[in-house]
Amino acid sequence: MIVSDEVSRREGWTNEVFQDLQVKADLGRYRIRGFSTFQRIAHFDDIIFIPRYISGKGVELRPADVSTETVLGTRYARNAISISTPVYITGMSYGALSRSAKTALAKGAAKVGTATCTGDGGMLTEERKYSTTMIYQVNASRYGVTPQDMISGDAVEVVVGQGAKPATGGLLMGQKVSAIIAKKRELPPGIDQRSPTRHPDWLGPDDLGIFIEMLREVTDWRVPVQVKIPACRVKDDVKLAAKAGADGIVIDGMQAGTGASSEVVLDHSGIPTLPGIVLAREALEELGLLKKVYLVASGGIRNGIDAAKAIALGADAVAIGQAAIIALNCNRELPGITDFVREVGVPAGYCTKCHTGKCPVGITTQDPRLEKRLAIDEAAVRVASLLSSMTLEMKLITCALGKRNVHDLTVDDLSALNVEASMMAKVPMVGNGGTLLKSAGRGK
Amino acid sequence: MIYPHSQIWTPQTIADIHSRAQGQYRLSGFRPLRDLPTFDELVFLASGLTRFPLEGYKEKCKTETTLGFRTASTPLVLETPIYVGASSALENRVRLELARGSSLANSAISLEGKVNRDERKLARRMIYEVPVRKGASRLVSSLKADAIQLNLELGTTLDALHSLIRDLRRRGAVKVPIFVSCPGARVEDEVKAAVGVGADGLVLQGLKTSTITRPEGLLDYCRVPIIAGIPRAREALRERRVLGEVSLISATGTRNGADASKALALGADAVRIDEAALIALGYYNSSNEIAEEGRPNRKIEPGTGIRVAKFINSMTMEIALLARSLGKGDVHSLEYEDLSALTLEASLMSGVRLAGE
Repeated sequence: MIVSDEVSRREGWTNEVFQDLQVKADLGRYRIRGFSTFQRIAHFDDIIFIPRYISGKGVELRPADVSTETVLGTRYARNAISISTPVYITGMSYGALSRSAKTALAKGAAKVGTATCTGDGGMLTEERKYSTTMIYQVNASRYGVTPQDMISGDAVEVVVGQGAKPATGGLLMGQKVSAIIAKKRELPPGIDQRSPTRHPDWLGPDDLGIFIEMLREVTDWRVPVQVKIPACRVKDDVKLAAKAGADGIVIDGMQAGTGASSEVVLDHSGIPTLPGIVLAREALEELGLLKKVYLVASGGIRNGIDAAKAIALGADAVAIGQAAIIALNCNRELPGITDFVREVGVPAGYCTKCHTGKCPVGITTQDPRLEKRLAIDEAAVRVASLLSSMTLEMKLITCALGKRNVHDLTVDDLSALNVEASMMAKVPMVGNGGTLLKSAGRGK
Repeated sequence: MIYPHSQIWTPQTIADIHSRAQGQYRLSGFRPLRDLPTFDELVFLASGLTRFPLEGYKEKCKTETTLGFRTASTPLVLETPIYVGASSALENRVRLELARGSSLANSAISLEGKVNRDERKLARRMIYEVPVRKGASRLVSSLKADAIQLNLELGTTLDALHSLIRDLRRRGAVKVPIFVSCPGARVEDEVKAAVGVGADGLVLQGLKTSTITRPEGLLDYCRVPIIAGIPRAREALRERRVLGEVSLISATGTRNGADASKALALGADAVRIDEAALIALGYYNSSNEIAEEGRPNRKIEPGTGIRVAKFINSMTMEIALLARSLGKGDVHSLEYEDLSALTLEASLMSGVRLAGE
């Protein structure tokens, strides 16, 4: 063979493309899956911190001295939320996730003193019971939204869209719509649910301003109201949300996870988390609202270093979803209990079948038989351990940079390892002192 | 066991030189050593607070596509911006199934070479491809094509193209659109020349290195990648003030609805699929079959064409889904401004701004 298959791969005719194409020729429609994008894109790994080994201060810093206390929502709300670490657990719906999974996340977050968020499916009583700080999400679907539940929240989040599937509505496949879920969402059981993508309560940024004011009236101006935006036209969207009166903005990059999405938007819509954070910071800077309106970054944050980098780029906090789910045992073979290959057709580590409701470890399912495989209290400990390890890593890197507070990390502490990351995150290339940005900047 | 090898002296290169040394001319060379940017390196900027997304299923997104209405009195009207191409190198049974698939999807098929009666009967809409040669206009008249595509060959003169188009129009083929295939090498020159002699549409090719079966094929290496070609062709059309009047068809590198959407956003009016349709048909089963010389001898059952139609349908749904998320009620409203690039190469080639810029 003279022309190697490497050649066709270089032009994008990979065996994955073949498989995808043949599946579509069978199905006759677009495909749906869960998890996260398969695109190879610039991410936190492509930028690094440059520690200071010799400091001029003459004071020995230890990781334990570093503060990670995070206060969010000081713009208009009477009661800002205060969490022990800048990492909290993002909104994932009861419906996409099982009751046990939601409960374990709430318990785990409470153990380390951070927040959870309800998601697109209404509030679960257990979540409110165990979570010390609960963000109440308001979606276009209005599933389970009640003023009673809303006032029990410690913050309210208005979702414009998700990074994994911007500008398309939520999806919950029929096999996950059990009788209980159906009741909660006031819909027939067993039928695919396709939530609307536009909010029925508001249309456009001016309307959003009125809507936010309404939420403030409902909650008596007590709790912060944050707006979650998928990273697309970041600068415009962040400015409009800030103008509409948000206390905080969550910017969700294209590496964000999901329980179910059309594959085409999962992989081909939205920009990466890196430029998402940077553009959001710049937008707030331009408005003179940096640090007045808080910024939360999400989408593909896996560990404390990712989180620290997000904070250095301008975020005040980060939200994790997929990482927390993985701590619950996602994609982990449990000897004697699970058999990934038999149950979902792929080995542990490769499962993206969240949408099917057949989650072998009982997280993204409504099947009581599978849900039993998730031991709530043990899972909560694992979630807490993940959060603590992330916090520890953040402390360590902050300390290595000679700082006492994780929120003191800045862009100046970072360098990029490749051109895309350098241009997207607007940090200099390693060893180049920032000149590359100038030379690579184009006229367009 | 891992066998390390040099980047340029690969086992393939070595085998190639061996076969040349034995007097066999085998094609190689010119291939980029690095990955070419594909459509994957462009992403869409979906609606947020600045525009309203449309709801799937409830709100309509038009996919109807009209091609070649510059001078033709009966332009080509398709239900989707996708149509199928079939080269003359394919066996008859394969061409028949591609034609069947295109008709089931209410689309068209572009047939190169001799067209037999069965193919014509199965193809609801047929674009007939003829080379720019003397007497080529006689090939067209008996077939009742719905559109004609004139294929340029190396050394084609502008005069020959001009007189062929004049001849076709004189013979009464004036009613159907006449497309000119642009190899995609000096894109602006090709586009301006074709527009100058009266083309109703341009079928734009791009760099591809994977389907080389004849010596002339090495010229397929010497082209502009399609993500760079479409914006340049569009710019040339704008300069000639025929943007929106002369149709632009992207004919290389489309693998799914996302690719097609990006081609439309970069400036194409429709997308032609070749390899992808053959994969849907089950003709190719792995990536190295495309790259290999010769054609796989695979049995294609009559009726398999439905798979091509289903694949086109999946692509059309994907395009409409993305268009709705961008707030567009018509897939042809996708535009340059809806895109963002993920790599510097893709950004510089297509002119689309890098994410974060």
